[in-house]
Amino acid sequence: MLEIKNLHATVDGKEILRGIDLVIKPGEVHAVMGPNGSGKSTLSYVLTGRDGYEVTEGDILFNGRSILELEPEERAREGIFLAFQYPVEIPGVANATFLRSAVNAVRKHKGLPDMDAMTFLKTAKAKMKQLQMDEKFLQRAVNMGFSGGEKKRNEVFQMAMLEPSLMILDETDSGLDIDALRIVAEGVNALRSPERAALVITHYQRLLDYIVPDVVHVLAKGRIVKTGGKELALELEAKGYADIVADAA
Amino acid sequence: MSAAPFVDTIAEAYRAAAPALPGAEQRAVAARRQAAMEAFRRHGLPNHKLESWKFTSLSGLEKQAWSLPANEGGIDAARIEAAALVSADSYRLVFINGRLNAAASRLNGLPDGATLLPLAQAGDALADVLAGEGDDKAAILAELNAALASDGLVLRLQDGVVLDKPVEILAFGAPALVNLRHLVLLGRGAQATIVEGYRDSGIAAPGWTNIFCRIGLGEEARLTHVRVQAENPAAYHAALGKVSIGAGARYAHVSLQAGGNVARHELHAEFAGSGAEADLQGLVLARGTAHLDHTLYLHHAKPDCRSNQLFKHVVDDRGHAVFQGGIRVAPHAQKTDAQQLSRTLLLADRAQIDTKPELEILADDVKCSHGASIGDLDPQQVFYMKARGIGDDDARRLLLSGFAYEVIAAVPEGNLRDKVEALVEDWLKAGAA
Repeated sequence: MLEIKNLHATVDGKEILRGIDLVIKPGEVHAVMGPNGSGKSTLSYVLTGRDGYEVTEGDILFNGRSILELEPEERAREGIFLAFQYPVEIPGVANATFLRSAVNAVRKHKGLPDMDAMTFLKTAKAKMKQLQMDEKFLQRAVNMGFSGGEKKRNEVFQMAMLEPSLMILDETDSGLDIDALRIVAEGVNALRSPERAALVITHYQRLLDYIVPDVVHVLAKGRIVKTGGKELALELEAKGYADIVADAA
Repeated sequence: MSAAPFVDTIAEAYRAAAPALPGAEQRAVAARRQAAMEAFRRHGLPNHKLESWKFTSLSGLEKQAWSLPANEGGIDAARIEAAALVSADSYRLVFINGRLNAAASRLNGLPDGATLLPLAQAGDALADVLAGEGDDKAAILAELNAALASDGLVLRLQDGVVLDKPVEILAFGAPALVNLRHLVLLGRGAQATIVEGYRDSGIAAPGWTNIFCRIGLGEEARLTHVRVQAENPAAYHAALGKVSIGAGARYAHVSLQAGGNVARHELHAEFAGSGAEADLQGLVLARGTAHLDHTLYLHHAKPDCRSNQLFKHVVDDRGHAVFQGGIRVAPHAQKTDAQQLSRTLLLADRAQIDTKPELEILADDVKCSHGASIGDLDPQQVFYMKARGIGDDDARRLLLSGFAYEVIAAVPEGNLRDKVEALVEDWLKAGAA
């Protein structure tokens, strides 16, 4: 599904990613762990095509096709979803309006008719129930005045509505207490399927107790320095990053 | 062209129209109109030499000869209904070519203690309604209006009268000089909602709409006043409003300017008693070469009053927005709470805003603040939307309507707010096309 080949990327002319190779197959969940500054968030922004993140070498193939020339909205419509580490507040735009625009943009791309307001509302309310979100969040402005946990839940809610084929979770556990973490993780797990893959970016092992990965990668200084099974996360938790990063260097 | 021939053409238009203007048969009215015309003739149009007219020029008016509309004119009923901002459940005065169109208007069924009339039928009260603003060049358009006013709204509510339905003034621009004059007087504890809509008649020729509006609120009265200026892109529109707010009264004003070539809405509000409140909000949508101006003077003449001004501007192409927000706090007006905020999105390199707070605070125990922000759309917000599959144009339009919504939300809920919101959405969509 996703194939990252020798990816080099710069931000403000500074090289952050220095040759990443990564293959994710449908149905797989990959975790990318690493110390602060290793390039984890940069990877998520490069995958989603954010301005200012420049690929200088290598390629990203999604379903066999290079996406480097695609705009962020085109990548999203193709099925790449990023759950933001810091969801953005948008005053004056109701969550429902925002999300219905997104859902219909994705549907249009797939050649489907617009989802009418009634169906949208019904679907949204069902998904919110799963995430234990109050329906009032539909009418509130996007992320405005939401607590940290509510923002993360809102990200997973959007993901559930948009049904992407690749879910990228950027530090989704940050700022969550244990109950919120469980609810969010259950929301993500409910979306796991043989056709859908996930890339879980996290600093801590904690989230991986709930979203159990098939593969764990350790990112350091812009490179994947170690790859292993889910036990690698536990090893990192016990020993810290220092040894593995030092071994790799 | 020098100013003299221009004022002469106006004076000539006045001479031609005077015999047919309301109250022409009343000596006091005729004398008042004559004096007002003389005052305008002496001063001419206000210009940039006046501090309050520094950023907005009406000199384009001098490039053509003006006359008053020759006849009553007519507009397709469907167009009138489409332009109406309030549903059928309202009192309504429709003005075409500066005259009441009785067929499209609704004045019946008023509660006891309420008077609602077109100005042309104000009879003996006309001389009062035309009363002057003094010999002040900055407000000279009010004198021109007194000389030429052909119609308008007169609404009086006696003490305690709560008007059951909103009053809508729906005026269509004409390729001529149109003067409407409104008077709204609410007695103690009276309540009303008035909506002024200035709309495009569909005739593309430049017109000049000159409005004067006087509002007096008695103690504890409540007035919600929504104003929409959406004239055609060739139109000149100048309006001056004078509002007096009694003790414990509340004045809530929302102004949307989304049309016209050069348009100015100037509002002077004064607290005439303590414990009163004023919420003044505005939204400017300017594109093409539109020049749209809000000029406010809020006089905290009494203690314990609260005011809030929030004005937002979306300026595209070579549009030009002006916000002048004057606040004066009199020496004895302690415990005044006066807030002001101007926010602007400039969407093009040549888009402009002049935003000028003007605070004169002479009392020492007050809470006053003002702020202004100018910028483009937040790239983080744009990216967040795009990352959800929303295209660039739609993302920008959603963000702009989000920016506008804070002002729209000040419009009373229901079909009026829906109409105002639709007008804003239409404007935003027209930009994406």
